[in-house]
Amino acid sequence: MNTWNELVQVALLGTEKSNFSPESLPQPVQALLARADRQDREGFFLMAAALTHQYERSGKKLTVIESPAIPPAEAESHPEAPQPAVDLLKNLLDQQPFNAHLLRLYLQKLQERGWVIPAAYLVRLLNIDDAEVQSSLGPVLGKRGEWLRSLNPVWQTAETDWETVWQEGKTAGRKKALSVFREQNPALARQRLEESWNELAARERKELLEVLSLNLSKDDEAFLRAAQQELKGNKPLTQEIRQLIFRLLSLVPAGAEQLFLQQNLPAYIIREKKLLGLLSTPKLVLPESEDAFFSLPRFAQDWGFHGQNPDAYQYQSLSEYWFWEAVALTNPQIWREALKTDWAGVVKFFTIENAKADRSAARHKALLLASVRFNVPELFVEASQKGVSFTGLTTFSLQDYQFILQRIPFRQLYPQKNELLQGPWSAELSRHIFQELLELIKSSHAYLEFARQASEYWYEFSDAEIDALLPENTPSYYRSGEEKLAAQLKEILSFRRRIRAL
Amino acid sequence: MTEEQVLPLAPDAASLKAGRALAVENKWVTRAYNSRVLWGEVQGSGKDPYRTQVDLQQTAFKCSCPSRKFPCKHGLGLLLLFAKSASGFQSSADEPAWVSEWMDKRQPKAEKIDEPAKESNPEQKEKERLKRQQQRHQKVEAGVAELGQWLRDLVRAGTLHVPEKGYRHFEQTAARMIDAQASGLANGVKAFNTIAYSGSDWQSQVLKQCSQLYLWTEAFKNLTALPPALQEDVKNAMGWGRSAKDLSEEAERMSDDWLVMGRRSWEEDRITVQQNWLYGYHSGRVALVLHFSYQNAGVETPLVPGRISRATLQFYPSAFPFRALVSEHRGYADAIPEVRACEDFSQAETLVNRIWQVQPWADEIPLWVDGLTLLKEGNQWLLRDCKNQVLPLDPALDEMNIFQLLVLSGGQPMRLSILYSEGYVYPLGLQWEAQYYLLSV
Repeated sequence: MNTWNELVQVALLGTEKSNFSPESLPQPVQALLARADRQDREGFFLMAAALTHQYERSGKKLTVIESPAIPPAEAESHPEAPQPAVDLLKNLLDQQPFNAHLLRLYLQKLQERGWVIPAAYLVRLLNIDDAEVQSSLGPVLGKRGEWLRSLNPVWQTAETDWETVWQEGKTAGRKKALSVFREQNPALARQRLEESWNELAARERKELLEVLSLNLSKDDEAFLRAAQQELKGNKPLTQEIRQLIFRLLSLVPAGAEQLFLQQNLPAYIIREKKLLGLLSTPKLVLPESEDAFFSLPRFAQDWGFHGQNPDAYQYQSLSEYWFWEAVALTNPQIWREALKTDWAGVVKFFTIENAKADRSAARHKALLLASVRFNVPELFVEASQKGVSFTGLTTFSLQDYQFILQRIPFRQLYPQKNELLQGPWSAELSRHIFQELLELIKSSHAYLEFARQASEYWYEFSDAEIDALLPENTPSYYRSGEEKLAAQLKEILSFRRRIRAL
Repeated sequence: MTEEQVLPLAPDAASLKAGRALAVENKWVTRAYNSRVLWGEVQGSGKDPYRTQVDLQQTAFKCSCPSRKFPCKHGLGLLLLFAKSASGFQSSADEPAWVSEWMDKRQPKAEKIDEPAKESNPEQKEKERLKRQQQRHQKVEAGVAELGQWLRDLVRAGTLHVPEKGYRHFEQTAARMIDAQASGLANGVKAFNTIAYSGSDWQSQVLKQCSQLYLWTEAFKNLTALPPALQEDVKNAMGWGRSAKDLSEEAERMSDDWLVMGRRSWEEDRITVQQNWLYGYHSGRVALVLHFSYQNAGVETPLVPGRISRATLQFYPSAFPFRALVSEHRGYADAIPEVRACEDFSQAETLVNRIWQVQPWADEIPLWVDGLTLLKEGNQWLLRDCKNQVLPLDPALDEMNIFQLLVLSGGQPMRLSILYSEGYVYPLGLQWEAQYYLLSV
């Protein structure tokens, strides 16, 4: 134990309980202590500690470590981005919050030009927590950047080993792994699920089964039917799985379930003759009790729907509830044919006359779901205009989305805004969204964020064109939001032009 | 001035964000400059545009906006825009009246500082000053006696129980030192609350703190027996240091090209304390310039981290004259001359030991050391010199600064400016290929 540690021990126990002997102190300290008053025991001890501390720190030997140094970075093989590109990078990084889309465009441009990021900016860029930015950064890191990244495990975005995740992961991880497999090789993914099906708990089965909706095909039918047959009992979770299997089976393109629904549902629309048979109008007539199609064994036991009407406000009978569940899973083209009308006519037919909008909500929702599942944007527009909020996953193509957007208020689709973030947007669509945002921004400047997120997609308007989009007679209290939106769009487009010009 | 040099001038993050947003040309109705001043008009929420000015020789700001922050977002925005694209500013020798009036006023103001105040009755004032000093001496003396006893009681009972004493115990003792007008001692007592009692080294740190405080109290008791310069250091340690206006004409002055090696700011009881470490290229001297401001009011100083100020510093009397104030600022230099760097840590330690010999309380001493590389042992980052001698980096240093050093040097030996403390070092900046890279502190 060295002298200082001895003093620390004495201090810990206290001078009252432990003996302190100055004779063990270094000679020069003892010499100085000779002038101190030994009778003042605590003062003497504190002085000894003070002097020893000064003495030891002044004569301290430096630690020597011979272990190998961090190998230096290799010489750069590509040129660094030139000054104008560096200035632009500085401007992009100064944006608060920074714009990931523009940064990605910038990095892609650098890659195209064969330039690498200058060393001074690498740490800031590697710290950006955005997977897409990081993926664009990789090719322009240069030797110096790759070397730096290798020194910090946090920056090493190793490829996820989905095989291990599938074998050892928890349900959420396994679901993600199965989705990856399903996207890469649908048959292999199904095979994986089939192999582990017997070992899965009910909740896990439900979670993983949902993944099959990705790239669903007739090849999946056999497995789904086998799983359906095997399910026993009527516990709520088993019911949910049963319903999920039926949903998947009915969505198999040209599958038996879909054909069965298409054959049976239109039969419940009858033609009612009026004016001595001169006119006939269609009418939906559902059985008050079970019939050959709407039967408890089929809907509840085989297909997993409720055996009792779950919402008496929306549905007048159990068969009506089953009917609308079935409509949501049936290609809506059959209604145009059955009713011999256009999409507006289909929606009108199914809307309850003189009822409050929420009374028809389940009907419109079923039509919206069917429009999404069977990709009928025209029906989506018509049903949306009835004011039903819809937050389900949409699978329309960009073209269909643009079609929808130009017809229904953007506000209504805002929950699905990420679907919009594909591009590029046409001038017409950009103008439409900009004008929608001008309205929305009156209630919240949060919509500026959407304009920023869409940086890549906006049509390349000139500043004058943007100014022309602003209304002329806006009250002054709304003016600030409008100006901010216009300024933001101008800035985004200016950045895009600068990036392109590099 | 570069954008990086403007950033540390912001009083807070919100002002910087707002300043950045204003650093675009279309926000400014007018923008112009000449060699001494930069000015612009910006449309704010008021009817008339705000008039914003920046003294380029002294880095001082003025704006007609009602903001209480200093500099305001308009000042920052204007200077940031100028740093980004000076070509977008009109070069004009003719200053508008509102610009030249402010600039002309600034010169006499600076001169007035140097003029000694005319005293109506110097004898009477001196008498009163001496009386005030004597009263303060008595108060501090009482505080010193009380703290001496408190320290004795602590080591008599044993420091084992210090972690259990709790925050309030030390705060109360510190408050009594404040009452005794010994704020330095109060800070010394408060330091017990900053020790990490969950760590393995707290026992040693507690004894170091006790012995350091005791040394101060003993030094104060023997004040008159100490050399005059060291007396100033002891009084300073008590918190009885001189204010800027108390600096006499005889205080040492040093003119040089001073590099602002780094800056650190923090808030303490609603007062912002700003430390600037300076290095004089011609004299090889180091200095610490302190500024204080209330809340986020910001500090008006011509010092800009990473820039070289052509200035005269006035040093506070000390056995190791280090703390200083800027008595004259003559603008900025661009070229970076050669520095006198230590070849290795042994030389640095020798230098520090010489300082400790004359002023044992000196801490965070800025130095240049050559040939340093970074090394990681376990979870600890170290600096290693050409003789494989290592010193740990301050654990408070943000690891991103370490990566910044690594990437700038590419793993090659580098010349660093560091703050040297007992047991660890804190890098302030890196000199690389005739450029000084400032690390954010």
